[in-house]
Amino acid sequence: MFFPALVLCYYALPVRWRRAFLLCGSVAFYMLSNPAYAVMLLWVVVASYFAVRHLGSAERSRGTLWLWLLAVLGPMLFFKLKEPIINLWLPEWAQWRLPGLNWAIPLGLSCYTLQALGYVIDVYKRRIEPDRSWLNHALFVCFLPTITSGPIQRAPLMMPQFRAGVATFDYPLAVQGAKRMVWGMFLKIVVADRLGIYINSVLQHSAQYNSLTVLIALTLLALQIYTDFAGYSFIAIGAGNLLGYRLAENFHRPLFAVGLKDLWTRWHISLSSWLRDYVYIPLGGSRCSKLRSTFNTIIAFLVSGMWHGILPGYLCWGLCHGVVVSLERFLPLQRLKAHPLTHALGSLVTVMLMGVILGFFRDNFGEALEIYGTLFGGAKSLQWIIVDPVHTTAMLWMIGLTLVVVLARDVYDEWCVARLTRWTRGRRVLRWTFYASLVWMILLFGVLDSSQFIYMRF
Amino acid sequence: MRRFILLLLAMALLIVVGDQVIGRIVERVYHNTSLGEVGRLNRIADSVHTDILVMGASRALHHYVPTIITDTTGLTCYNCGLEGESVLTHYALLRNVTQRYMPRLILYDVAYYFDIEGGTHTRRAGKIKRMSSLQCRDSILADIDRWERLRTLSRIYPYNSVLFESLLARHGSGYDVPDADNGYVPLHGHFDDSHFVWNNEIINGDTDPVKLRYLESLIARYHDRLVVFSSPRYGATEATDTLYDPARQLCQRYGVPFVMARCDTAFTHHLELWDDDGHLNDDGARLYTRKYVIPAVKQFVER
Repeated sequence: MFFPALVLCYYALPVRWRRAFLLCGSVAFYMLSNPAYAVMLLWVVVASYFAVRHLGSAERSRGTLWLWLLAVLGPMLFFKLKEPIINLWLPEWAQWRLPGLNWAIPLGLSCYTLQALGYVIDVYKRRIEPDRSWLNHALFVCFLPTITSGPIQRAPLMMPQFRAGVATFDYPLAVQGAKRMVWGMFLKIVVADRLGIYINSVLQHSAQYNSLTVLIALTLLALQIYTDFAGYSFIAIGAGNLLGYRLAENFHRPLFAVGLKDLWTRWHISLSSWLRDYVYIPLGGSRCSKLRSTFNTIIAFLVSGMWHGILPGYLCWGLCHGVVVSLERFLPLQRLKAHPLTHALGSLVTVMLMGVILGFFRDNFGEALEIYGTLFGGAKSLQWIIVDPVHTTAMLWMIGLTLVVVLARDVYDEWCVARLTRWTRGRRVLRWTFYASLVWMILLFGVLDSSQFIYMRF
Repeated sequence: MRRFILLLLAMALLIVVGDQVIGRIVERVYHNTSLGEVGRLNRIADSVHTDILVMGASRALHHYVPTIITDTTGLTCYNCGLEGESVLTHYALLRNVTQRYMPRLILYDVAYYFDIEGGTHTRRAGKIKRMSSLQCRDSILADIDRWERLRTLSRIYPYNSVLFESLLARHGSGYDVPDADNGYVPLHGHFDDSHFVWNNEIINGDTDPVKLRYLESLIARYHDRLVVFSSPRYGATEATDTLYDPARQLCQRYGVPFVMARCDTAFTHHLELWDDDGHLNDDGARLYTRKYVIPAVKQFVER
């Protein structure tokens, strides 16, 4: 109820008060999870504000840039390093605690830090003029739709919108936003959480299953993370649209990617493009020797892994991606797209590969090793998760049906959008019924006591 | 903005109309299912009419043999045990049944994990919200989750996740095994205790006030026709009997017999009687029914 009430109040206010109201709403929403986390948010806002003010002036230097980057990165580095360093190396009595502070990563810290960092670098590189308004700056870092898990937005897209403000209600944009939110909820509640039931049952006890079952669960894990995070992204972008802002997309039909390199241009685009622009290209990108370019790729993916967490699983995950993407340069993968059958096969293998590497994403590295032990350790007795055939069949039907809806929608967006849009134009009831049917499916097949979004823990 | 709100209202109307239509269809499919877990629930709620009802979670389902009870006492019996359900569901089901008729005797197998232990993870409302004829459904749902009553305004919501289960229900599900006997589902496995950790029962110690409130309601409402059992558990010792004190005290308060068989060494250390550490196999169930259930039923009948 928080968001609808906020939207109504937002548009009821005079234009000049809207940004301030939105900032207050964003901070209040953020503090709902844990008021103490607002300290980190305030730190990042203040540090990045003074950073862009200083780096926007004439007397800037590379040294001061690094100092400001460290200042903005401080809370994130602290929380990411805390787990491996403080908890593993210090005795228990030395593992001090601040009252009221949950020692998990504060909600959205990794996302808004990267967002602020990108702005600081853009100002230093003179890609954008610094905005002197503290209100616009704070709103950019704390923007309600993206504060919890992104998508990581760029200052050149957002700052002009904050500067201009939202003077009138944009009906087509709001309708588009509402549609995105419904689709996002469907992806999360019906598809991702339903898949999660099966996947967790298998992967938490992977030793009891055979290689094939674990491979299927890992492939579905890729689909689960896609639908969970894409679902979240659709909701966030839709919420932004309802407030009158246009946000950058985060997923672009990754199920049709052939190869991991192609996949990373379609999956978590806001992070992969951030790493490309602020890590990979500054390192030299691909305009250097093949060896150096391979090194750059691996470093960029390792940073991606570290962004998720400085733990062995995430580092292995990043390393695997770096190695596979580097090796893919020697394969003519894009030729597979010439024929629908080879394209489909290539996409299937890509999703499977993504899923297999995602095995490292488990919270516990030992669990990940057990998963790979079963996956590559040869067949044992074939066991499905639930012995009761009715439960199993019913669940597989639900998963199958919902995945067909996701795939149909992605096929429509990828290949048929022009043709079908022409056909559905004027057939308003048909379009409405599609979105209403998503709500009915949420009620009928959704996991309604669903867990939080997977990416919120990063 | 006004146009947008009108659009949302029109969509809401469409969703509500569809919810009512689809909900009615799914409701009909669900209540016409006669097999599987759905069919079992329908059967218990709509047609079971025996002298004795056995209620409880999976240990009730697998430990009480109706044929033996009927053959020995002459009273008809049906086992209404439900896998993984707490006292809230059993209470609701019993209320649903007793709207239709009142059995002479109810045998309730109390399970610490489902009926006493603290934590909301076993307070499930899934089956209760589908008991559409149950008059006290709304108040029970409100106790489980204050939003649940609001959610059940949707006609589809109560049937969330069960459409395919109803459509695909067939013989061979966990409940419709060929040798099922008046609801009793025998287990035929033999427990291998090589990995069993002795004296390692998970003891939370906390109690759930909501579960205990419903256990008390069940005991108080049916005190004149109720016997409460705690059936055996592999490797259980008297040291953990105190876990059942809340149930024992409630029984004492309302004058209900409480049969404690949990630590009987005739069962607790005899591997051949067990399917797993929590469930007796068919041999064990028959022995338990003869040793504990029959005397309790006879005593009740004579009383």
